[in-house]
Amino acid sequence: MNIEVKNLSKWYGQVIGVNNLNFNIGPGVTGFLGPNGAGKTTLIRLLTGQLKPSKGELIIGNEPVWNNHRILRQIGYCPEMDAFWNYLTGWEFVFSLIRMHGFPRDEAEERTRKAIKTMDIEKAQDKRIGSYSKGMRQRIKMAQAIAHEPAILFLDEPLNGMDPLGRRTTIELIKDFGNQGKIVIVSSHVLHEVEKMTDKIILINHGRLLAEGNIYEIRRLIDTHPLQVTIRCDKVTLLTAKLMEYEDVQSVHFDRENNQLTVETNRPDEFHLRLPKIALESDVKIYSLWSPDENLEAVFDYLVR
Amino acid sequence: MGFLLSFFLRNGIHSKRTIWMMVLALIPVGCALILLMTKPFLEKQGILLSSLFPQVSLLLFLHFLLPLISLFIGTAIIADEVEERTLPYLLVRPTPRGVVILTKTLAGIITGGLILLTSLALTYSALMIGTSTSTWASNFSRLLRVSGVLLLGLLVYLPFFGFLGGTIKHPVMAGIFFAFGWESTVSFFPGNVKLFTVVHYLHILFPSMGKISSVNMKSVFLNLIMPAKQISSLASILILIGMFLLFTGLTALLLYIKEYRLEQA
Repeated sequence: MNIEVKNLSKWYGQVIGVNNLNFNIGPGVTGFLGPNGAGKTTLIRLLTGQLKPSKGELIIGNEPVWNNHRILRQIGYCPEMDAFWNYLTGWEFVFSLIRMHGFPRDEAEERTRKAIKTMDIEKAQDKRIGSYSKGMRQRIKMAQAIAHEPAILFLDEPLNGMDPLGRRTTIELIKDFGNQGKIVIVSSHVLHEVEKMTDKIILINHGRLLAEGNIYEIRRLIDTHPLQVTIRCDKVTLLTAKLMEYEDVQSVHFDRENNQLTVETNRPDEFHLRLPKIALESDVKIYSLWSPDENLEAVFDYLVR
Repeated sequence: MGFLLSFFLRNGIHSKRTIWMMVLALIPVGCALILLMTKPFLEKQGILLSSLFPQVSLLLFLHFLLPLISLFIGTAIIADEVEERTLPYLLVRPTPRGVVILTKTLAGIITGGLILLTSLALTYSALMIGTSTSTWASNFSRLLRVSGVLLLGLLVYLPFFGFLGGTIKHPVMAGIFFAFGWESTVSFFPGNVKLFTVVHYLHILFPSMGKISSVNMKSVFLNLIMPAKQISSLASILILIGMFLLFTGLTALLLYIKEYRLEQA
């Protein structure tokens, strides 16, 4: 089974959600990557039949998606939105949605039990979802998406709010689904998250497809993008002097009042490996470190420039 | 469909709107209790408390509680899932959208019916306290008929308000205008324009107000809103069922053709 997207556009009045998209998706994990507001969620809503295309075609297994129950039967969907019937327990939530999928009671119970176990949320299954943490809510959303063992799985920002262990488990689970030959589509605005799940990505920004293909190609481009790193430490002048000795460091701006410096490097990976060593050797205490432009938006701006 | 119905019934029970409706449903009961407290005074005026049931059921139930409860439940049929952002869970399931709407409407009719009829039964009981068994029994058939008319009314109003809730941005305001503006005002109009109201057909089915004169409660207002019977009861029932099918069909159709663009978190 394949997903074919042909000249797909979706607009709401004057606002364009997605614009003239063309791609094919086959079995395995595919990442929809793009900054917030890029059009990923609109695209997933189109693919899950919640929205009707304004123009173009959207075909899954030779059939259009809109109002097609044969397709919906094969789809699992984990929405980005943190929305539930909060009075339900985790068990009731998954069980109810599986029953709506048409499974008889006994089978729905068995599938609910299995999905809840897979998502490791058994201890909280009898508590009301209203009392769940963000991470638990993400897990229960995932459970309802996988419980009917769909052939196609759409996961919209599935790792949002998950703790590190939950993220690791979910990433492994997504990879497993992909390895089983299912079509898994994961949207994210965090590059390294997608990188851990797949090497197939579709880059989207402002509703347009920027690139499609191997993530390592994109990664290579990103790695040459000059990166700004802001460091707060106790010896600003000394660290500035030490960092300036390296070729890849393009510039350093320091702010003595706030004990911080901003470095621009065109080899971010090397820089990050080198920094702890310099700090140790020079006895510099680093309090914090962040990259103001490390977000995907900056990288996209760089890629499309 | 059985599971879906029980799911939506449970949804309704946990909805804040249901609590508000229950509070609203206490208004006629409260009025009946006030009348009960003034029973000695009313009896001195020659008014039997039990004889007030027709007026109370007409004004407080048919013209007040029925449209209000229908409005509260009906506008929430689609709007609740949109506001709570739970609609995607329902739309990505292979259950036909028409079945979802029909089941939600049915659940609303059951919830609304229970609230409405419980309130009616309590009001009836309060007004019948201290009356003879024969008076109680003679009024009981009226109670049953009023209950039937209210359920028919719910059957029409609820999907109508459901349609409003799925199509316009401020369905409650529009619904209030319809229920207490159009429905009430047009009932006073001469000619055939009242055929375009739901309440006209409910009036035809409503038990006659014959007892009003016997207790000297004949009022211009009641005479105006109770129309002369121009069409038969059977025709009225058929028209009301037709309206139910039309509005339920239109609401179901909405989910097929209209997209609901939910705001992202």
